[in-house]
Amino acid sequence: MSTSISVAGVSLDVIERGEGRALLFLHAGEGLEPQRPWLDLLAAHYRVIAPAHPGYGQSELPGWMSSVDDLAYLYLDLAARMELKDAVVAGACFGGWIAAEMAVRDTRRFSRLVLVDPLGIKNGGVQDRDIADMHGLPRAEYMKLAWADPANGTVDYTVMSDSEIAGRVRGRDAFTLFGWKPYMHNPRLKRWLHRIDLPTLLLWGECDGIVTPAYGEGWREAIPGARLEIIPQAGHFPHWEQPEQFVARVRAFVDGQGPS
Amino acid sequence: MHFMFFTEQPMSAYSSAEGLKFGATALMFSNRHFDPVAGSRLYNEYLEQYVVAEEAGFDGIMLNEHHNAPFCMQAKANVFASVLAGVTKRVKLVLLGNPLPLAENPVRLAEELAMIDMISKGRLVSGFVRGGGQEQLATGVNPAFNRERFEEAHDLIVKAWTQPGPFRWEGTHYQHRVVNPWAVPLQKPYPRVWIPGVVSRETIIWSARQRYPYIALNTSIEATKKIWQTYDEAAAEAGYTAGPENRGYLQRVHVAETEEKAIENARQFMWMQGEFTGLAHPVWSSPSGYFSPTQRRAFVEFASGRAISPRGRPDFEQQLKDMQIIAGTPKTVIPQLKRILDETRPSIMALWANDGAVSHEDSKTCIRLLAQEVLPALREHGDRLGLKSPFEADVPVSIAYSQDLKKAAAITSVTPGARHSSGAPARRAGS
Repeated sequence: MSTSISVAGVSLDVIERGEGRALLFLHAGEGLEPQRPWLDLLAAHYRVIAPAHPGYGQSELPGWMSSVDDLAYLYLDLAARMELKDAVVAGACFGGWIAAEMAVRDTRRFSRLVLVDPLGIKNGGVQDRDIADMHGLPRAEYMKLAWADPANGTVDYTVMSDSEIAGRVRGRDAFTLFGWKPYMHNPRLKRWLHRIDLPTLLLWGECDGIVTPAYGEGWREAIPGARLEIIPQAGHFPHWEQPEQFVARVRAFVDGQGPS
Repeated sequence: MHFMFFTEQPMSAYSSAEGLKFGATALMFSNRHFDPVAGSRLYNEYLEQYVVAEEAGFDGIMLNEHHNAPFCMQAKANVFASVLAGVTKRVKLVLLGNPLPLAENPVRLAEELAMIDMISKGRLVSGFVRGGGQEQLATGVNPAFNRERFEEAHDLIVKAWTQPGPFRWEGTHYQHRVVNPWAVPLQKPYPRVWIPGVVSRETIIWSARQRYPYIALNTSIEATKKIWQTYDEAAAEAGYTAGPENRGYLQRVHVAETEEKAIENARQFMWMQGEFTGLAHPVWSSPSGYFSPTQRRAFVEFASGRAISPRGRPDFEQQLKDMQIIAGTPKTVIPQLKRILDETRPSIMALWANDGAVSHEDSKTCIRLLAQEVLPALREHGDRLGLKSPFEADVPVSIAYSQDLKKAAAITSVTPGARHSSGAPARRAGS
């Protein structure tokens, strides 16, 4: 199901699943997690194109690559390479940040933008922390912030193969590389969000403690015409914790009553 | 042999009950517990101890630095090295070392170190370190760039020391219009560089490729032998044969006039809740991106509950038994230290003589007894074992200045700056 595609000299591990309108999905800092139900539910309605970010899965992380700018251009190149037209670009958490960086640059190949609990902007002052320090928290505390019910996200590492654990840790290392400083945001991104000329849906887990719904308000105010919808009983990953709700909201927005 | 005196410069004058209540005191234990009156007294006591160490007969003083933690008061090794450059006359000033990845401007470090070398009339040994995990958080530096910044800063500093300026540096992590410091080292081609470490295989190999001595920091005898094996293999690949002149060892040893007092004071080596360099939260001591894939694996297995902590430390009695800590009168510590020399064969030996709340007087007594009663016996033993220090063996400062290489190819691999101009290396290919 996953294929290797070379874009800008970088070998990317890309999952393509389903038929219909193309939906480029950019995954969270925690990874793609294609085995969770969200992907098949989404692929029942769309041709989902889901790359593993450089440093995740089998995707290569070249030595020169170190910023979210690089990822934004990389995925714009991927969209061009796949000749996407009228596509949906969606991103969750870290992927939402990348999707927004793409959308302020070039929206030619896309007609809808969906941001799911995105990281990437700064709302508060110099001593305010907008984004929980995911890399400075014990795992148990992180889980409490990231999930409405941490049991939904619990992973049993003791039964996981070494290569799978190593793969996950490699992904976390890549997440660090791209987002450590400034922590998980681009101080200038909010200044340019006005450039986004796509109908935009912000989906937010009601219980997200990594970036709260109040942080989402900052996004809604900055993107012209954007709508913010709250998904109950979900934390930072509504597509994993409430996959049916997530897909229903995406469908309503993309195929139904999208804002003019 | 080369014998150095070392102290972590513990900031022990705070409420230990508060520290225990807080838990991991490295990084986040509030500096409202830092008493500058006690700090001023302690800094001056440590300064006096260094002077005593020189007068009593140590060959060198080893300095280090850490940030945001009571286990080490020295936030900048170059500050103490500067003071000691002026107040001491003979000892080598061995910095182990400046944490390169934490530096935003390596040229400034090159200048400071050149000044220290000139003021001390050529007594600087300029070690470099990566900085521990929590140091990355203390200084806000991305841990995923740690090794890249270490290598690029090193290359830039060596170039600033050896290539006449002005020159330009447009690297991956450091950019300078003009590198032209009006302060260059007195020692030529440049001051000796020693690399201390505990676990990182990549650092051992890097040191061997540079032909820089590696100083094993109180590692177990078994682990130390493995380190030398790794080093020796990398040295052979680089075209030279490593020997005692490439090896250093840090040993915790406290000496007093009676056995009982020595043991009582040596218990202070466990003062940071039993941890080597202060109790750090595992999340902070091993931030994502900091470790190599092999090192990461050990932490993954620990995190998944399949292994014990790779940082786990045995209790005091066990450490005495394993000679991780040595304590006693000169008469009882000498045979144990000889045994360490027999087993680990270093030519550079750092004696970490006191820690925690050991009194100033007891510290000075320990230093004198070590220098006057223990070191002569160890020097004799070292001579018998042929443990010649880099100074005694007069070995080249680095591989780039080596005339005895079996393969010329080794030199090109460490040409300063080469990898930066041709783009960064492949990073973490696979896992």
